[in-house]
Amino acid sequence: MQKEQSRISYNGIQNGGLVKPPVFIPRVIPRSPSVPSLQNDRSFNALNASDPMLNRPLFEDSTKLTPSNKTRLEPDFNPSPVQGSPSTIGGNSNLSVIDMYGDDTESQMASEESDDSPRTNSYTPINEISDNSNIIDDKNIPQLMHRLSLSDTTNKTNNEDNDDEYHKQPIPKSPRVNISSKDAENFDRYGFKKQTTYITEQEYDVWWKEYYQYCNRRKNKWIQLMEKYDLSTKDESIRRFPPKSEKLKRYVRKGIPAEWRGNAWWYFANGQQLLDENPSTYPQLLSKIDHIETLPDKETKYPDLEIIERDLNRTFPDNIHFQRESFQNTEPEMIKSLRRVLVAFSLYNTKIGYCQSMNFLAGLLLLFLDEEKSFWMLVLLTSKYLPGVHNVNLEGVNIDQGVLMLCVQEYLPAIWEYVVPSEKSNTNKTNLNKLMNSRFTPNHSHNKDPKNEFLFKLPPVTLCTASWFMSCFVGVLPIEVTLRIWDCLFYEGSHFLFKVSLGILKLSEGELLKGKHSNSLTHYTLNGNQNKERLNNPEENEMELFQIVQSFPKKILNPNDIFEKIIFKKRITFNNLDQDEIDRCRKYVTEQRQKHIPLSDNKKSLSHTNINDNSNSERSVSSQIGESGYKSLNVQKSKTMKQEHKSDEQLSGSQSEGYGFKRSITSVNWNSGLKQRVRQIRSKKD
Amino acid sequence: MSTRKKNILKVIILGDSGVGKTSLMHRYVNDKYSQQYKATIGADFLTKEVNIDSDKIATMQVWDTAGQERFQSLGVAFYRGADCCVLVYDVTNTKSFQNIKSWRDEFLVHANVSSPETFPFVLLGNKIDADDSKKVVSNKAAQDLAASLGNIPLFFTSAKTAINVDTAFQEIARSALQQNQNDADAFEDDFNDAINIQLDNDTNSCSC
Repeated sequence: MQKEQSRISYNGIQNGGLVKPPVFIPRVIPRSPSVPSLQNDRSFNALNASDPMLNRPLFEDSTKLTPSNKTRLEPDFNPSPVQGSPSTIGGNSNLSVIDMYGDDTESQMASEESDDSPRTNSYTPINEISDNSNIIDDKNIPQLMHRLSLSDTTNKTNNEDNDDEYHKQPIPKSPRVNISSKDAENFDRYGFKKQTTYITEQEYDVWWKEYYQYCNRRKNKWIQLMEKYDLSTKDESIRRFPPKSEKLKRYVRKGIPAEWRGNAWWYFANGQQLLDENPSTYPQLLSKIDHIETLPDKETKYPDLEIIERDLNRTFPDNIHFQRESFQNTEPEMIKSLRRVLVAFSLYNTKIGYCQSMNFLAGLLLLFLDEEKSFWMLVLLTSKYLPGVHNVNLEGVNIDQGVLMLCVQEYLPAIWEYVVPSEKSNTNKTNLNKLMNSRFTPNHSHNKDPKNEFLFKLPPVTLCTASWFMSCFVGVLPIEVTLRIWDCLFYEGSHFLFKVSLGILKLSEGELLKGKHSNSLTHYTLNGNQNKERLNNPEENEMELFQIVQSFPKKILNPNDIFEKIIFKKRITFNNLDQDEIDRCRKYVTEQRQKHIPLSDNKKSLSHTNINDNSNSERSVSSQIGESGYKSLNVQKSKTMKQEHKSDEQLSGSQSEGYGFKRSITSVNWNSGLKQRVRQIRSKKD
Repeated sequence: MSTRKKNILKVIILGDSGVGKTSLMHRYVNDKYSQQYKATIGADFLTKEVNIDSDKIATMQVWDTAGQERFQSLGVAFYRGADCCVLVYDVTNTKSFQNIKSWRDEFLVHANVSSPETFPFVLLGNKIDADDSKKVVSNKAAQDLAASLGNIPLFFTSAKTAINVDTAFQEIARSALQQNQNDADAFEDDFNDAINIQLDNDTNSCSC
């Protein structure tokens, strides 16, 4: 039976057929007592003396955990899982819940036993995954790691010093999780269903066959790099990474090894500092949640609870860790964790509360980090990386969409014509009818619209692209692509989201301009001549654009379609965008929008919007966090905003001009009027 | 209207989070239902060719929106140019029913429709497949609401079991087409100031 055979040998390549998927059906299995609890293991602490996380239990009763009441999630490695009953599972192999490389590996996953105390179970299956071949040294596994999940992966290219002790423990049968209902083959290494509306399982498997080899190669490169810096890769809980450098940036861009991802994000985002300064915050929030649960009028007092509740099962319905069916129809620990993180956040930051899309952020974080860290990463994402984006008035989204539109206008003129069609070419009045009603239609505006009305009357396509930013592409792009973007987001900063957005639009250009429009489009890419006739109905263009922007990203299965074809290409001008430029652009858009908001709203938006407006914003934010903690950071920021606003007013006379991008002008065939204006702006700024 | 190649009908679905807007859209457009829809962020849209009264063909753009209140501020641009607005509540959720009126008001504020009194709304009470014990909004209350909103059409639907979805969307298409033609007739009156900014826009547009 082909299926059975390939399930056993996951070296898909040798099978001559499709690469079989990693197996990762979670199964909760009591941890063997033979696994030492390393809660107080000094040898490990010596290694990471500076890391208080390792000694400190996340939650009060995590100290109660003993090895025997912990659980491990075991994959289903039964050759015929569909027919198999739970009792047939887990006999001989203990494969990973996530098999990071999909080759012939043994891996494991551990998680806290859930019947210990439901509230404090910070179940986090996929985080902190170890690569057994390189890393696992049982003595060095901190207690924390065992509370969380472990997945040992034998990387076949690196399996010399395999310490098998850990995964040779006898694995009891699963007491709880019915895995027979699932066919593991249908899911990827994180538990997501491979097949989507846009990608077939076969397409996935064909692609994965190549990509997992790529992942293996990258992992080896990473190990070499880490060794150069004397950073251990033997310890599964890699907590330190090399100092930032062009080389490291390149490595990050080519993908952080999946099992290190959670820790790498945490490290690059500087989450530890935030946690160290607020060690009791999350536990206190959890106590508060407990209290709220007892209130009879909780839903009127905390309206976010209801919305959160409704989104829990609408976050990753396609992921096995979030499905009731995987857990004998009981609520998955993942869902419980997601609920706690989101409710805790809504109590922590009342200015944001709960905003839909944060469920996707928290959900993905929980697959890679424990609950408390996921919480703090959510705090960082919503304050440092996406300031104001999730606030009640969503002004941060509007600002970022304004910035994106400026970038499209600047770098992707062919697409811009679809986003904001030129007016004079629209000779057919009846066709114009709805367009006029539906939105602002500037006159060939990429160089004729000094007022940039589109910044406060955002084009419809931004309703789609807004979701790219709000959820940082979770659910927008296939998961492996999303993860590569998150790697760069935490390493490079939020400008990377703009780069990727432009990259996606550029990739979709072909589809958009396919055939019929090509003639009509040449005119403005050359010289901005607006008198040529536009051949199609703008209303249909709008629809087409939205449709493509909505569905195109979902088809990008291979991360390197974006990274190698776009991000790594120096000649693509928008790759010059950096954090400084985006922050400057955000500031410009904020100013423009404020001028058009009625006074009362203006005040409101000021207090709601925390924009990173200094050039090194992201770094300086972290240092502020270091000094004064997050809450005071907000205060500082809003003070800064007010000061900024004053100076904006003084400057407002000169602000009706367009935005000038720093470097790109020379490489784009722009009309000279724009160049001139940009020069004016520059000389004023200088 | 003769110059129009085909009619494009823009339909916006509004309602609280989780009432089944996405499910209704997919049921109507693809005749499919899944338990696995994710929460909608921003908006999605699908199109479907519709045949109205067996002689008129149009393309219906169905816009599915995010249900959380704060997303309304994003959706403003999309309300404009709508030909019909579908208001959805969940028959098992009183609050979603109580919010219908504010969804309608919000729509009218932002959609900038030519005559709010006659603009077509359609009210859908979704999830009627649910157990009777779970249903908390009475049909009578729904009929009263529909009457108070200007006798707008009301349908009790189930996206899950496909009850009444096609019927409802037939009515939606009909209302939208009617509105679309009214709008086109009123085009000259509609020529608003937003356009004027553009009309005087020329090569010397730099104001400084």
